[in-house]
Amino acid sequence: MLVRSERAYLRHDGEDTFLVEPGSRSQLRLNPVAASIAEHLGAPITREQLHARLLAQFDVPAEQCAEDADRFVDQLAELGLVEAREEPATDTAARRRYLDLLKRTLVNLVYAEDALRLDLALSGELPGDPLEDARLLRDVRYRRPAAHGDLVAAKRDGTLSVFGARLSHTMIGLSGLDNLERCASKVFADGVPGDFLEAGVCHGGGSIFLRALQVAYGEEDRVTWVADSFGGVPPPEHPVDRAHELDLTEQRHPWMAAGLEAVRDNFATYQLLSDSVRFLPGLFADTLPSAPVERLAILRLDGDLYGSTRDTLTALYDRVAPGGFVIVDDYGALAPCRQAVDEFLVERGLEVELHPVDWTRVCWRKTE
Amino acid sequence: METNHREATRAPEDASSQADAIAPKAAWHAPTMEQVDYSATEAFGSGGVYDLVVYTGSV
Repeated sequence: MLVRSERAYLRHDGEDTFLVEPGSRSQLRLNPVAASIAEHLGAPITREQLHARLLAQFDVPAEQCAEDADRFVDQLAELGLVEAREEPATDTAARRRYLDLLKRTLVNLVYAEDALRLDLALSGELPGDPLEDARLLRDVRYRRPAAHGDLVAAKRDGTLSVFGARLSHTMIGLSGLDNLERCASKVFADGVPGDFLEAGVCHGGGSIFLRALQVAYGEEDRVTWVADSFGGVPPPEHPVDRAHELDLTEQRHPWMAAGLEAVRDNFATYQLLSDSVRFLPGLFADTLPSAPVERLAILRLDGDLYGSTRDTLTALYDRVAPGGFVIVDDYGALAPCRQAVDEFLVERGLEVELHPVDWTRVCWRKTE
Repeated sequence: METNHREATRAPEDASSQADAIAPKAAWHAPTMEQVDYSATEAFGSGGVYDLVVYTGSV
C-alpha cells in the first residue's frame, strides 16, 4: 500500500494545488493529474487502485496512465513524500471502498445537494412557482455550480465558510478523516498499543470514523473513547480564551453542539455502536483526569478553547503510547488552542515534529 | 400513482439538461510538480494564525 507522508500536506488555492513540506521549507505546485494522484494518496491505496481511479477520471490509455502515475509516485517516494506500508492483502479492496464511502457520508458529500436546497429554501431564493421551484431544487448542483463547488471544497478541507459545511456528522473534512486513517494505519502496522480518544466530538463523526478504522482493520479490541460536554463548547472562562473573546457556545453557534443521545444515535446509524465505544460526558477537567483510559494510540483534541486543550493535554498526554499520534484540530484556526499546545510542549520540554494536516489541523507522533 | 405523476410533469427539456451534466473525462497530462516560492505557506511555525472562518448567516 502507498500513502502520502505526514511530512507534507496538500494546500488548495483556487485552481492551484500545492504539496507543502514545512520541514524542508518546500512547496511544489502540482498540475491537475499530479494533484489528483496526491489527493488519492491521502489514504492507503495500492498502485492498481490508484490506476483505476485515474482511468475513471481522465481520458488516457491504461498503459500510459500506469506508466506516468507510477513514475510520479516513485518521484514522490524518492522525496520521502510517499511511504510504502505493509498491510495484509486480504480484504484491502473492500476496506478501501468502505472507508472511502464512509468518509464521504460522514462529511455529507453523498447528499451535498440537500444542504444547497435547504440554503435556497431558508434564504427565500426560490422563484415561487411550484414547478420552477422543483426544477431548481432538483438540479441545484448544476444551476448553482459555484455554490456547489464551494461546498465541496469546504467538505474537502474541513472549513466552515459556507452554510452547508456544518450539515454533516463531522466538520473536519476529508482532509481530517484522511489524516485519521493515515495515523491509525500506521499505529496498526507498527503494533502501537492503546485505544483511540477524541476530546470534543460535536456530532461524533470523527469518533465514528475512528471506531470504523478499528473495525475495518480488525483491531476491534481497542476502545474508542468519546469525550465531550455534549452541550456545545463551554463558555470561555480561562483568561486566554476571554482575551480572545472566544465564545463558541451553543447560544452563538447552535450547529456546533450535539447531545449525548444524538451522538449515540449517530454511532448506531453507522452500525458502529458497541461496548467498545465508551462515552465520557462532562467538562474535560472533570472527566479526563479520572477516566479509566490506560493507554492511547491516538489522541485527537478538538476542544477549541485554550482551557479545554490544556485540560486534555494535562490529563492524557502521558497516557499516549510511544509511537502514538496526537492530533490537534484547531491549532491553525484558533490562537488560544495554538497557545495551549505551544505552552504545554515548552513547559514539558518536549521537542516534537509538528506536521500540518491542512489549513488548521496538525499532528505529531510521540517518540518517547 | 406518485411516480407517474412526477414523470408526467417532467418537461421535455429536462432530459437534455441532465444529459449535458454528464461531464466528459478530463484531459490527461503527464503528472508534474514545480518547486515554487515557499514564503506564502509559512502559517505554521512563523507565528501567523488563521482566523476562524465561521458562517455568519442567520441559521
